[in-house]
Amino acid sequence: MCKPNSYAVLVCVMLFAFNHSFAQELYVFTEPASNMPAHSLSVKQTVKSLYNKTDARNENRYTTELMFGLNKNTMVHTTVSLSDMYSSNLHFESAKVYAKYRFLSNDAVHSHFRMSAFAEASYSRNDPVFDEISLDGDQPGIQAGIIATQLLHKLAISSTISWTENMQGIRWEKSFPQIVPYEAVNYSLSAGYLLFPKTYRDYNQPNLNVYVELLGQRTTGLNKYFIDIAPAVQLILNSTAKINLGYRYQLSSNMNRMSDKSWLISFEWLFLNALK
Amino acid sequence: MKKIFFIIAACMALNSQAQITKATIQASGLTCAMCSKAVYTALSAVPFVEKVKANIEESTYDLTFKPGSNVDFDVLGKAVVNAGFSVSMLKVNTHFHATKLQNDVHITLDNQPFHFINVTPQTVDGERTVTLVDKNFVSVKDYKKYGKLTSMKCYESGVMDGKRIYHVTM
Repeated sequence: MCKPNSYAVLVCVMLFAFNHSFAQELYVFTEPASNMPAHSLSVKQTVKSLYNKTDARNENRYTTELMFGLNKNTMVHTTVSLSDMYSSNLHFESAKVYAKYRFLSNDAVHSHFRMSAFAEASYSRNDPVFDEISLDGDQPGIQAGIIATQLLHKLAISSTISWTENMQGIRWEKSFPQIVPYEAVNYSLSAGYLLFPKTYRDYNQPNLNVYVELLGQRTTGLNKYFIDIAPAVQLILNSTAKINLGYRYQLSSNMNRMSDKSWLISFEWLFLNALK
Repeated sequence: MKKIFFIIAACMALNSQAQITKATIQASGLTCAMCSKAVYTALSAVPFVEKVKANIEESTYDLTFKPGSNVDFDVLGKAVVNAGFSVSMLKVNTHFHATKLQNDVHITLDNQPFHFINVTPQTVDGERTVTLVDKNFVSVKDYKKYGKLTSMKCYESGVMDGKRIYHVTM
């Protein structure tokens, strides 16, 4: 039975508790409405680890992502993943392309409100097993949505809503009964907070940020849902490289999922003017 | 005789020599150092900028221009915008040489037409700071405020007779 209200209150309390600080909005599990600088390139390597209860073993997904800042409003990502989550050995699993267009930006000193639209399409070789729809390697599909991010002097909040279509071949096999959902609404609410440094002196100071993200999905047809919470920490070095560590766990769900918790570690490098 | 002096004075006022050596630009829409560094890198790459000194806390960048170069404020603004942010302020250090300042008159400084708004009519000599009030160099609220202080159409478009006019105050 879903109890979103108490968790929303928990998040709101946490957001107010972070009231007296600067905030970051470089989220670990979601994308903000902001864009990369024009003509920049970012490379990200992610490892997702979990215990797959169906396979009764620890499994990993390795994702390599390239992000291109085409102009001030548009960015494109390409991603490939390798995993052993749906196979006995680690192998190539999926490829994905993602595009984001920032269509609104209201800036003031140390604050902004931005909105972006995004779309993505993925290919995945995996068989349908679980209820959760995810284009991060699990299924082939398409997704489109809107992101809104508010950076306040002391707080950054971001929210995403999107529609996802699972395009696995079994969907078109009319002779089979439906065993997994094919369509879902995804939603998220994220907050970020800068722990260190207390005062900025130069670009070489390491930055330590903490995040908490609420990630939810509700499928149509077969009525399934989950709501997860994902706290994370992020270290930024030389104002160039990021190290992220996150732990995502289920708050409530009626889905058959690979796991109700997972770890995520990622490394990201930003190369300014690399595409000039 | 009076007419001749008037014409000479008007010509002096309209074609004064000045030198733009430094400026301070403030970027809005950001807090973090990584974002600030993107703006810093973009400003440093501008050809006529010699040096950039960033104040991450204030989100300001002190710019020193290469001597004798043509300073284009739109290029500075574009650098900030392409980095992903907006300009909230641009203050420019200008050397005036007995320049007569009036409102709503196009005065050429360093071969660039300037349109002064909301200034006390005066003759200016020496180093002074002027603030750009053009669209995309101030907040929306300030843009509307300065729009009410001038009746000339060039404030909205930033252009007159095909030439870029910079609107400033002091």
